[in-house]
Amino acid sequence: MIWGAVTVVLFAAAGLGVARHLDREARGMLLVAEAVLVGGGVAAGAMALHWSLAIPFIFWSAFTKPPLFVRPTRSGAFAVLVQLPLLVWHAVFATRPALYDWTEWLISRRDYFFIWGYKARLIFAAGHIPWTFLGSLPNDFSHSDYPLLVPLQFAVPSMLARAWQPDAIGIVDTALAAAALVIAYHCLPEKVATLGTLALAGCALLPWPGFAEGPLVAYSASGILLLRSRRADALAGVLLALAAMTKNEGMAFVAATAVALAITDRKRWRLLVTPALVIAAWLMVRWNLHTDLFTPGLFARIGHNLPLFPKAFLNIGTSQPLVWIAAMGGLALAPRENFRRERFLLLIVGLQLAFYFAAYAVTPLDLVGHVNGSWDRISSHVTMLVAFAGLTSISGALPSSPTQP
Amino acid sequence: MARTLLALMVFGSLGWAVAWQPLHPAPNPPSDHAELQRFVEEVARRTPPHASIFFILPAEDADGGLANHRLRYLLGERSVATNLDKFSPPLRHVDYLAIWRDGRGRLEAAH
Repeated sequence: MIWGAVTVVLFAAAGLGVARHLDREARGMLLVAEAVLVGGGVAAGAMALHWSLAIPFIFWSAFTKPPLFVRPTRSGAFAVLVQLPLLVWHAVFATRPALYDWTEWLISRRDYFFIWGYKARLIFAAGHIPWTFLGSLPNDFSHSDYPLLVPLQFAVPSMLARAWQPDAIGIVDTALAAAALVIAYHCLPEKVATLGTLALAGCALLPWPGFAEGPLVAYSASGILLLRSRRADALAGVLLALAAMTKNEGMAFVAATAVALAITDRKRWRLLVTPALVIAAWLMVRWNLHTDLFTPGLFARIGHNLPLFPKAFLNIGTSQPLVWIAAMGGLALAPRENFRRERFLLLIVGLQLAFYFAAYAVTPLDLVGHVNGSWDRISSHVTMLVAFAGLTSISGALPSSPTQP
Repeated sequence: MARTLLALMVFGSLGWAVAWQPLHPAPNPPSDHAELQRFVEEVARRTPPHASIFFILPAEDADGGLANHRLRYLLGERSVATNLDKFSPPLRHVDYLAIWRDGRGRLEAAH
């Protein structure tokens, strides 16, 4: 556990300078949260190339004299206080040794042992990214085409400790989610910020530690919410680039954001240059890694899979069903106004889900099994955004407090 | 109405998160993979990186045709296949045979 904490401190130290540069107004906990997210990318990049590359970033952080200590507002302190029990709960859950015990062949933990933990262990054991070996992996459940940010981040605690530390992954996972919640708190209307962040906590602290879902939601939601609030476009671009490097669904988020921006605010397209460059670089690097969705027989698979959709989705639950119901209820309180205000977020949610349905349509796997094994997880990718749109709608319907003008 | 929806969202979110993240889950059925783990770790020690290893496992260790993925986690940079694989192509060549039967393992160079 201690190496997980050391890793989070390293992330913050490596990211403070960049975060301060990209968001001049951030201070206190917001700046630390942004630093943890950005620093997670810096540290992973350094581990991928050479660990010493993190050192200039740490010096940069020290020289910028970041304003870390600010007097907390009463509502900010209260928000931290109410979040703390759930963060501790999640950290205790996510660091349970049983989750990382190889002898338990649990179906629910397959993605950790087959993909994320497997690659993290490979990187740790090799001391670098074994590109040739990854390229030689067969086109099966190890998904050799997935980006490597998450395995690199999961390998950092073990590289620092010089011993395999799988349960430290739970601390990294918790810290990234907590950072996303701090950003969401600052993007929410003040009226619902504290309770709203509590509602979002269940959408960020996901029950799949050791999978890429947690980092994907942390990076994508942070980037998209910062874009929506128009407070740090450059930082939002970097966070979206990091979201794209968590797993292929992160690249879909960048595409969905590009379309949503093209429809709602075309002038801000420049902020997508960073994620576009990062994705282009990754696609060039991974040219020899296989992806299963585009194997031959695409149209035959669509014809086979589409009629099976009703059967596949009939008995499968969505992540956080009550949050979806409450969010839809909130949007329905003043539909025209709420949908117009949140059209950017809702477009991204709709497009992202459309990408997922398209992926199910072309999957070479058994569709019913594929949906049953993944829908609860991948529907969690957009739940935080749906909940946020619902919260701003609920906030608009709440009576103003007497102290407000 | 707005307050009710806010309360529903907070309690729904927290309830789901806590229910899905039990701190003391019901114990799993006793696993008999501890001995296999020791054998696979021994195979990792006795074979060089990039070796191709074919495992022969009993049917109860098939893991739905995905046992090779389980083994890969412990074997690092080695190509792994088993006699029970359902979703992976066969190895192009085999350097070692690892046979796991009745709780005992044997590693042989392939000829």
